[in-house]
Amino acid sequence: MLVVSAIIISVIPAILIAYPVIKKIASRAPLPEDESSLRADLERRWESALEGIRHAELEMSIGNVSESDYLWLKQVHMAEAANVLKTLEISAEKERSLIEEISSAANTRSLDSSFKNAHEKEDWD
Amino acid sequence: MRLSLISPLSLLFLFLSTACFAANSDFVSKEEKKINHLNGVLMCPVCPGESIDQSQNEIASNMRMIVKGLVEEGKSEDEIKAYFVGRYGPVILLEPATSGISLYAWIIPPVALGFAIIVVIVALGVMRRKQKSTGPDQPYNLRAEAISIEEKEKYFPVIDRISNE
Amino acid sequence: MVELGQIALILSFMMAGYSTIVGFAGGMLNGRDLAASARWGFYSISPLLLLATAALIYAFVINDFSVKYVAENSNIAMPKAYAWVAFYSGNAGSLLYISLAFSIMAGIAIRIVNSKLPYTSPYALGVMSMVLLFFLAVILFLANPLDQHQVPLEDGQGMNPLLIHFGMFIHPPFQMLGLISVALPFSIAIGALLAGRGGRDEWVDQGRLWGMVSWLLLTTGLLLGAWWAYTILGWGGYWAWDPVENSALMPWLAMTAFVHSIMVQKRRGMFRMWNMVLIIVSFAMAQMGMFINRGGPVPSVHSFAESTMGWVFLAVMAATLFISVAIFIFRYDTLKSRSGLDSIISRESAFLAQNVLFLLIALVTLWGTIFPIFSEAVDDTTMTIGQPFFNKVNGPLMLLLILLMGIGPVLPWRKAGWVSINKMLRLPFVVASLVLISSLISGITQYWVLISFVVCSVSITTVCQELIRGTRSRHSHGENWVLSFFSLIGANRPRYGGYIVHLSIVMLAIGITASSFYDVQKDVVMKPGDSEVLGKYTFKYIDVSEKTYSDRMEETAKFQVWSGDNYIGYMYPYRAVYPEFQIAATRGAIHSTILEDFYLVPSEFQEDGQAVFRVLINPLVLWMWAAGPVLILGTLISLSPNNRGHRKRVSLPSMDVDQSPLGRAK
Repeated sequence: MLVVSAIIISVIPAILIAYPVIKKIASRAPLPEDESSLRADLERRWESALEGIRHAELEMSIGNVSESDYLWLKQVHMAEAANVLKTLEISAEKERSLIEEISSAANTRSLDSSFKNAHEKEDWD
Repeated sequence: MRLSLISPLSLLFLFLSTACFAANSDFVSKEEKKINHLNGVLMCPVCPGESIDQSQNEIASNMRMIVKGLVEEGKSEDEIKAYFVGRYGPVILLEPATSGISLYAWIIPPVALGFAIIVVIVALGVMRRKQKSTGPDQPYNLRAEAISIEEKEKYFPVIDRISNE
Repeated sequence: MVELGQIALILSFMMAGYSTIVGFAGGMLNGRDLAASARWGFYSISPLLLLATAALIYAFVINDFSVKYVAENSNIAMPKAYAWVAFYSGNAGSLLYISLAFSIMAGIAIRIVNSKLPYTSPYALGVMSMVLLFFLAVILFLANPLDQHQVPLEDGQGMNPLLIHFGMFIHPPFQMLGLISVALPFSIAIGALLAGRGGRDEWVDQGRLWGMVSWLLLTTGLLLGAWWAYTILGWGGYWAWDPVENSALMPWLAMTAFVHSIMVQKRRGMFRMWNMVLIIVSFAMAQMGMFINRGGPVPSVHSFAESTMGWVFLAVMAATLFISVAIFIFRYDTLKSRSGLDSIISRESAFLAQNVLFLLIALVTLWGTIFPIFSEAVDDTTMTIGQPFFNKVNGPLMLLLILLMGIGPVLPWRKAGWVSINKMLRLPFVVASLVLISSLISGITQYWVLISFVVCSVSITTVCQELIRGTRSRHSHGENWVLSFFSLIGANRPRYGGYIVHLSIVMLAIGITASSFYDVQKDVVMKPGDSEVLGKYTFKYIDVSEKTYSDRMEETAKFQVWSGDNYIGYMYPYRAVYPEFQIAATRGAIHSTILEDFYLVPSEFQEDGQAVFRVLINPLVLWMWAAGPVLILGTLISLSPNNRGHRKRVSLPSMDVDQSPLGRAK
């Protein structure tokens, strides 16, 4: 009895750890969104900028901040949000030019050096 | 609205104060207060960290009796403390003395407070200077103030629309 | 059953080892299947530990005294319901409890972390598995609760009678849960550092979530402990600055700092380094707590007397600290703040001051707690530092914190002009001065009480002002008062939940202040039939009855009590003597009102029924216990997911930008 139950309780974890590796469930699934990508970072900045705007408006509406402080706060957060949008455009631009560069490099058969270039370009800050 | 807030809150505290005052009236004699205070600062020798006031040990209850006796004899607080220090050593006091090694116990906290204040001031200064000199870090080294008027016209309506959703 | 439990323990140890190695490997090799395998392996640990726990509890229920731990912690006389308490009342069992609880919590946490931070989660899983691995190793090699004797004993030694109480069902589980749960945000933070893939604020949301969960558990544990001590331990107090209490308080202080300063990182991308430091310090202090509790160097009434394994915990704490700091330094350059400070007078500065103050209190408490070791090393005398020292040193610092709690939350983020400051702080200071005057008039002369009431009133007023102004602003848009109040809170949960927590802290502070400065205590000797008076209370000692149980003898006194002319009723304080343990436990009888508690506790009974009673009047204690539910409510509100925020999560405007992720996935 003990032996049987011992075997049962050791088989279950073994199946649990073997299953994902054998079935490759994770690598078959689509690549999850990367939390450290530029886009994810921009999303966080965008959210905190928007949160800043909403917060400033809330404080203004309940009468906690002066008019001038409110205008300043709103201006600062708007600029931050605009910066996010601008960055998005620049990065899209860069990506496009990168793809062009790679395809033209492929034509001139100097693939190696342009890959190196591509990696440098990715360092966004 | 101002009055509506001020008056209930003041009344609340008036109520709380009354509670304290009621409890503070002199229905416990000076001697008893002194006994209670002494019981709180003397340690029970066999139950470390507990005062004789807290402990239900027999030694603690004997010590409470001694304290009571000494107070009734009219001994001063220092004399009674000295009596117990004489019997058990300085270890018996829960509140460290302000001399010898125990002095360090008292010195360190204010020193740490002073150090903490300096740390806060320095850190605030550093962060303030960073904002003045370089501004926030942005991808592609953009600066917040570098948003041009055309860009403002282009982006701000989008932001306004979304933030008001 | 016991053997099966042993096998489950060994298996769970192996699985924890597997998850550690494969988790880190999956992260480093970017092997998603490996990471999934490690994760699934980790999920299998909690059922295994549940099985081991069931085996142990079953052994308690059937009085299987062949199990050493059962023999040491129970006997035939023990009520069966206490099998659950006996499970964690000793050293080895509490380790199993901690492992079980942690494996469940970490399983839930890693599931959520994996969906939000897929590239960080293998590392976080690795760290969590390592923590669990350590506990399971200690269980298996040093203190196994399922170890058996060669020859079964007739009867066990029984549980420490002081532990046989209802409070034992709730306080220790929460306290242990709180201490170990600090490992969750710690693992997520260290996991993010180890993953170190360029971004810096990825872990903030998850860190805040689990940080607050842990904070809530710690707080609940502390409050329940205080409540238990007050109602049961029979000395009329609730907090004694005992080493073990201190070691539970220290991680709470550090975690409180953390759950505040993480907000600054979320909003401003600042304090990145500082948050790492705080969470590392919190975890180190939680480990310190376990160290002191398990046969550390500082004597305490709470500790597991038989245990000498504290030093293992100390060594692991040192190793954790060392490795964490090493990782921290290694990733130093990624932890620079995104932005600086726009103005010295801002929410950010208030947060920094608050953080440093919390940490300072924690360090001062640590200093007082380890002072006996220090004096032993330097001077060869073990000077114990007790309550008076901590009250004198920490009291003022805590009052400073409460003042900051009143001012900080109403300072705007980034920058505050004088006009804004005036708008928000004028009213609180008006109320504070009124409170000062009214307190003086009503006869309060102790200046610490005056200061405390004044700072408390500043805090209360700012919170009330916020709530009223917000509600009014919504009301002016056409909602009715009640609806606008709730929709105000619902729309800004972290903010207003936080305010509610602050309110509860003020209630706590008021209760502590009043009961520590204005408590009245008197020892009276009474014979049956005697009447005595204390303040407005008149109490008559009717008689004493004795009852003998299998394990104890109870002497219950019967009192009739009047408050002024109002008859309150009977009160039954009692004293129980456990001859086998030579321990006496007293249980006070308490009559609580919103203003004060009337507290009766017997200290000694003599042959003829004459007895010594301690009578106390503790003002405003009820406020402290009422603060608990308010605090939990506030925390839950600020933790609850905001639907509006949820819908808007991915709200970057698409414009005409290519949507393809620009990830640097390897």
